[in-house]
Amino acid sequence: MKNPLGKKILFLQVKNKDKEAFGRFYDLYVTRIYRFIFFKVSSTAEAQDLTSEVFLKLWQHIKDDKEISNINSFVYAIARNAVIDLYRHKSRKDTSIEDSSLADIADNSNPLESQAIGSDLGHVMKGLDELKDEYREIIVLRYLDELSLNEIAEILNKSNGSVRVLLHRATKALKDVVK
Amino acid sequence: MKKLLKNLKKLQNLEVAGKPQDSWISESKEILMSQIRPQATENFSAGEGGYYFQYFFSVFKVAMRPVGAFMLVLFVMLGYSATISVANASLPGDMLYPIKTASEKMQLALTFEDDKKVQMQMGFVGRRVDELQQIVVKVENNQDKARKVSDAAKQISSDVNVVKENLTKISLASADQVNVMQVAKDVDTKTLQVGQDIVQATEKLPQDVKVEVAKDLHDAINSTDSAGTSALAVIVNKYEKGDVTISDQEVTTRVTDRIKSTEENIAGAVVEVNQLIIDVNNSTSSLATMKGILTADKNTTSTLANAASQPVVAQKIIDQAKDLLGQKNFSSAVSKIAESKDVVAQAVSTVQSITNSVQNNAPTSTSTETIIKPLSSDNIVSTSTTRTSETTKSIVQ
Repeated sequence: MKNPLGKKILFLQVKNKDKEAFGRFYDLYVTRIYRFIFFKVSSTAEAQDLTSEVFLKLWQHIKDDKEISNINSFVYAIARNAVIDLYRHKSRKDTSIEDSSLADIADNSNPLESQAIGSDLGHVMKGLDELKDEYREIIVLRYLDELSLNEIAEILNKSNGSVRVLLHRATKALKDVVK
Repeated sequence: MKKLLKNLKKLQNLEVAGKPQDSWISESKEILMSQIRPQATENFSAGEGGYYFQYFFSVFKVAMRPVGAFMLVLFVMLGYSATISVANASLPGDMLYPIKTASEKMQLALTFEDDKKVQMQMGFVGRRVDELQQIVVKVENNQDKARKVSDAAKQISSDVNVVKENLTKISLASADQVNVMQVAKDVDTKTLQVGQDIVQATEKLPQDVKVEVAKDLHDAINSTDSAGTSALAVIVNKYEKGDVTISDQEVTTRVTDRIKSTEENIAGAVVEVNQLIIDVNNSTSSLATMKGILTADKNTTSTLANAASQPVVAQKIIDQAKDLLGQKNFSSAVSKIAESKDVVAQAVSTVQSITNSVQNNAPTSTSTETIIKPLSSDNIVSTSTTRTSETTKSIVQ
């Protein structure tokens, strides 16, 4: 949905507990929230579980009439916290947190797709894996989710200028790694 | 860097790069909705319109302070629905008119299905035509009338161009053939009516207003025709690809109606050209001065003579369309209709620009030389057995 007015109206409807609007909101956000989480966790199953949890938590927040000033950044904040909670839970259980790489996740996903990727895209995926979290996050938001700089600034709680600088550094870092 | 960005883009649709499976998306949505449904509110006290008002007021209150204050008073007195009803009766230039158009924009923004969007937009074009008709009748001051008619005509052009673009988009993208066919039929039918309504409205305008707004009205008619012809092309294209929701008879009727409409345009262009020829011949300007206006340069045929020949050319093209229709070659017939309309539009545009030059030219001496002969009905004779034009319609009489 590229229509900013339509988006704002949708957010208002969601905040007013309109279930159909929430369904549309889900359609709009599920892929990007899933991807946001995907790059931070160790398996597809975890990414799926956490994504579902994010939307349930969002709904719970709305149902409890809690204030949401910016729903766009709020949903990402829930996602980020969900990942943090997952790792906290894992470390409490003394389960060794496997240092899984994106390549491992790739092995778990569609095998046909893995074969079809080709070396170029494989290099890019490995490059993303090697970046620090902050850089990987902004690359994913900008180039895979195709969010605007304004939207990214809201999500990361940074100024537009900072986002631009961070994006430039991240892209350069990825380019250096992929070379 | 370009290669890197290109590769990143390629990752978008890969599961290894975080694209969730479609099956998981629908399953998880179903589970989520089943969990929230018992908790969601069914009826909203604000009403759907409340969202419009709520958002409208928060976004537009700064830009529209005087209107906003007035609207607030109205809203408090009448409530939301009545406020919008009052705004819906407003005309361009009225205080509440921006509320009417803002309300329409919000309705469009909340319509997510592309086919319904096109139909809604076409409905709004109809509203613009109603506004035009009301302006013609109700506004007394000619200066005001000219300004409002011009604004209404420009809005019609703009809105109908959007309809055309969006219809093209959905006809290329949509897998749902039935809806696209229905939308195209809707646009085809309504644009014919809109074109006729604009012509009828302008016939009621005072002469000096007509001259002032002629270009804007012609643009509105041309845009409407263009959208209608595009819609007809979509219908014919889908029919020829095997769409069963339209019969051979219906396609024939629609193409015939569009041919008739084009012949009416041609007849109108002939009237305009002849009027201009009379004006030029009666002009007291020196021949040299008139020739300076009429010729592009000394070596070419006069511009007016070119304009005079165009309705003849347009009629020949529309006759070809009729022949193709007779052979059931619908798509070629529609192409010929579009070609003929372009020629007519060109002729009318040339007439307008010459009219402006003639009016601006100060008379200097008497000339008895006839520069060019008016077109006679013999010049515009259809070779088809079906003569569709009974009356001539003109923009400038």
